[in-house]
Amino acid sequence: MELSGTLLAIVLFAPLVAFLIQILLVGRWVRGPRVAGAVVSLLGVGVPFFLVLVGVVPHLFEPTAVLWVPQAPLRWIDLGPLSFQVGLMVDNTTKVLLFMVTLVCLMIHLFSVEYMKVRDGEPEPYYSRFFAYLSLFTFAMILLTLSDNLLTLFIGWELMGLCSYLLIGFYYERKSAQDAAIKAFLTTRVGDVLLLIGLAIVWASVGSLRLPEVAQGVQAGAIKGWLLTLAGLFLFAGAVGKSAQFPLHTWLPDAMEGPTPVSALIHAATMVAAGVYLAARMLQVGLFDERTLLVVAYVGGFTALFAASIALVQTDIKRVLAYSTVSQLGYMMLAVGVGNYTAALFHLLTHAFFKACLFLGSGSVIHALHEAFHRHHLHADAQDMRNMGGLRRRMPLTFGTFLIATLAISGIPLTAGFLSKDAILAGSLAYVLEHPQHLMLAVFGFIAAAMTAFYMFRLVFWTFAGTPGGRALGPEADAVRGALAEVRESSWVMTVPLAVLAFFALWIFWSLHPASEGWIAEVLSGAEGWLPEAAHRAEAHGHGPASVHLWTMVLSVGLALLGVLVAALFYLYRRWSTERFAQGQFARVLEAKYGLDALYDWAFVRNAHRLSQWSGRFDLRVIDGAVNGLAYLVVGARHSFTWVTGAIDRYVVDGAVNGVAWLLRQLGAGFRQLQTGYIQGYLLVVFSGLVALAFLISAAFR
Amino acid sequence: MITLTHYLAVSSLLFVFGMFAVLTRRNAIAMLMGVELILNAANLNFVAFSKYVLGGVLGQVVGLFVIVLAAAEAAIALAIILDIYQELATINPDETTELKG
Amino acid sequence: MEAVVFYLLAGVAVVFAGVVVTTRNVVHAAFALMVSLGAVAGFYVLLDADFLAVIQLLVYVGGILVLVLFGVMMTSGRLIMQLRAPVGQLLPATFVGLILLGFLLHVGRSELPNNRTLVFEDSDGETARRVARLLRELGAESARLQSETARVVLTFQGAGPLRPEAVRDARRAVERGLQAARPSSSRLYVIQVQEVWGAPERLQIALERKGTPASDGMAPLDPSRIAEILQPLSPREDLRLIAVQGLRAVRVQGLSEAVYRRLREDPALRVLTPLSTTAGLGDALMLGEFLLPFEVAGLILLVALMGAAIIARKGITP
Repeated sequence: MELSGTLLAIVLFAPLVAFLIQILLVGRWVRGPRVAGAVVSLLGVGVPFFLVLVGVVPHLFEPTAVLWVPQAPLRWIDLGPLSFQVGLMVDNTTKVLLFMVTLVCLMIHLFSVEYMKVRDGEPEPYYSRFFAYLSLFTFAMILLTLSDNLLTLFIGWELMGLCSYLLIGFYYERKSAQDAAIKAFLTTRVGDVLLLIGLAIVWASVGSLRLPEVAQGVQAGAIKGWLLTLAGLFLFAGAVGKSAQFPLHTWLPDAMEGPTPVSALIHAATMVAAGVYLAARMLQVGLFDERTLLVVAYVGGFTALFAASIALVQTDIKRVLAYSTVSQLGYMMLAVGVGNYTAALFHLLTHAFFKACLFLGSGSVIHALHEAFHRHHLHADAQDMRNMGGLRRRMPLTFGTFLIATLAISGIPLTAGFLSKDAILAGSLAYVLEHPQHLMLAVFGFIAAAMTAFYMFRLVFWTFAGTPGGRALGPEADAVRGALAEVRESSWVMTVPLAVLAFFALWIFWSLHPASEGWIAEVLSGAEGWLPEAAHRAEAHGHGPASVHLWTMVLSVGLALLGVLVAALFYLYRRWSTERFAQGQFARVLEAKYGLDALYDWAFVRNAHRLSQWSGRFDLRVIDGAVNGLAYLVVGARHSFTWVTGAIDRYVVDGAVNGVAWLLRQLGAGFRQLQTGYIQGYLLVVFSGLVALAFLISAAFR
Repeated sequence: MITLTHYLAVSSLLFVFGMFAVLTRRNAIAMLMGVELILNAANLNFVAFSKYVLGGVLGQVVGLFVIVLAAAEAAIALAIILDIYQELATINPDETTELKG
Repeated sequence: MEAVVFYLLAGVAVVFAGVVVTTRNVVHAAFALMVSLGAVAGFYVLLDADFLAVIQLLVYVGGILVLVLFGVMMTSGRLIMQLRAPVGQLLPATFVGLILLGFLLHVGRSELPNNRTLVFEDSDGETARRVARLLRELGAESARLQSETARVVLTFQGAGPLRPEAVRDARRAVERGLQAARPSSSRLYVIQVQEVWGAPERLQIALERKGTPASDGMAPLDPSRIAEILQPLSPREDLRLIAVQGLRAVRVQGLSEAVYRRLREDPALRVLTPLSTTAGLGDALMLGEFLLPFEVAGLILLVALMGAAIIARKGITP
């Protein structure tokens, strides 16, 4: 089928329609089986996936100029000389992302049908609401992917922020979920505000927010020098917030409070991908100059290492995965920073699949454990890896797919993760060979690779190997062991998505040759038809000679295998003990996540509370006090004045002073009313302001 | 000969009366009446300018929208006033100081 | 005559607005408001906004005031209540009010830019000369004078007294004819159907350009061109187009207030009163550029009423 505007519109708006149906109709006026609600959402993402399959996938494996651009962009906001034009665009980058987003979202929807059915043994009361949010999330991501301009991209971006808030706080009865939702919303907001400033700079200097026009504007030198750096840094700050890079990464691990499919959605296909996508796009259009790119590279590389080190000591299965996401996103930013957006987008794609697989796999485990614990009336934490173990035999399908995804994230050959991570590491190595002073960038990447393999296999060994409940602590330990023996494999609704995602974690889809990038590198680095010629210079970086590639492969595979081996010696064969390490200072620092969360809490949250209390008190004491004091002063003055003047002119002067005092007291009372919640007092201020404004305007136009 | 200035004078008076009502009445419904006066003053200006300066029906279209929105506003405002009355048993704006800091 | 009506309405509107502000009885205030708003409806009639006047009466006097009275009934046991504010509140309010009033009156009095427009009937070409001479005498060099066909009247002849369907078909046929001649051109015209007094088998359809002719860059109306477009047209078998007349007119633009007044009062000149603005309003709202805002406004009203019902329902607040 030919790609047309109608088709794209359906792809874009189907999830939105599903959301509207869910939120307005299902469960209120339309009653029926609860699955009916899920079906609406499944259709809302299934139809786009099908259309992408028939419309985009035939063009997927070949680089094309531009698959689809609008004949004439929509003039959306038209204010005479100022107008915002918006439209959709499908180019090489978009088409692969579109395929990934729709597929992964569909799988997550399918998984949720079963996963979300039960909460604490009761039928989930907000089943259709959950699917409504999920659909809205999908819509936002598709909008972001398809936008040919930064305005609708930003709208999708913000919509995702809203959805993440709603979904992370889905179990809003839990205080921790509320806090996590607010934390996610506010932390990403810091980045969003900076992003908005960046967009304003771009718009002010280029005069357009459409990507092709921005690319031409940058090309023509409409924005250059330090202003370009500034704009680039602001735009990157947005990506830092969204993609949870250091120092705005703290929200992502807390976002684990949401249901597991939400974690999969946020971490794999949508929200965090948006930041990397934005960074890659900015690199394409040339808004990131050398200075910005260096910042991007260092932030990304440091985040990769930093988050991986925290993941080493976590015991909550989802938190390990969360920190691994932060770390992998750091890799992608590193790739953008060394000018290799092909590798960044490639890793974004493969990571989406294997991370979704990992999260859904952990969801499958948690779901099974939850059920078992509930049956035995246990209150043990179903997400704590210490309460797991030996699940390999009880959940073979989950184990198999989880293992494939783990191999992929660790960068073991014959997986998709190997291909993409190798591309990134090769790029950074080539960059370091060119610029030896930035040696640390490659070091960050390689050490993090070893750490990744270590903590991911630690997770696998703890969860699936060993004896059931072997590490369980506390009074319920025996009961947990009993319950684990009864755990059953999840139903096909949950395992089919796992299998599909695990397939894409293998190398075969991405490249027939298991050790070199296949069609995907060609497609991603293929000329974007709308870019001006010279803008492709960014691609000049990041490949280097073939020998670099070989060395990278040897080094990264060696380090990954080393990580696996160490993990196996620690946790599988128990040759080494972790006790000494666990009691050391360094482990404590890691467990406290380098103290950053506590620091933010102390620096921002606590002080914000203090500020609001203080200003409340200021209002009460100082302002009210001043007005009151004025009145008292006048009264006091009157008394002393009459006492001095004596009886002769008592009536004359006294009367006058009385009048003034009375007037002032009335005025004081009137002014006091301004401060104390009287509506009409506020209105008086409004109208006074109106008068002042009218005078100003008339003076200005005279 | 009636000119635009005459209409502007009348609408100014209506506006100021409306503003005065909003600022001084001790009953939320009477304040609402003041708001209606203000809206009508603005509307009168639109229509008068439409006839005397611009020509065409633009001013009348805007005027129609203002009437529609005034109706919506009155409905909502009265509902809120009823709610406040049920809650606090008064609609005197001086006694409804829940916003007090 | 216009002046008498105006001053009467102005007196009523202002005096009763004063009552709204000063009375101690809420019900009295409501009724005074009704009278004041009714007077505003009268102003709308004076300003050629008949439709708006009717809507004003329907919505305000019929709708909002009843709502207000219900509100009064439901929120107070007694009708007379202390409405008057303490001096501390009256003083600043009066102060701000007086400043605002002075400012508004001052602005209203000040000179408007020279942008008034007048259109005079000009059947013999004599008017154009007279207007030009007057403009010279008054020293209004900046005014622009333009002779044009301001209106075209199509006359249809039927077999017998015309039925409503015939009228409707005739109007639709004219719209289609214009549309066929130039896409979207039917939106450029105000189309009005007029009955011919004393001749029930006849029908006149008047066409007038919307806005100023220069605004869309299209040539002004030309009767021969219109006749050419519409001649093959026969809306019904029993209805024929028998005549196309153009009404010549002089359009004077860029007049200052004084010149405008002088020209308008000249007894030898006949101001061309535009076709009913009600039809123009309908066009603008239902067919023209305001269709979407109109629908949105309707939607807002609906949502507001539903919201009001929900808010006012008892026990909604915890």
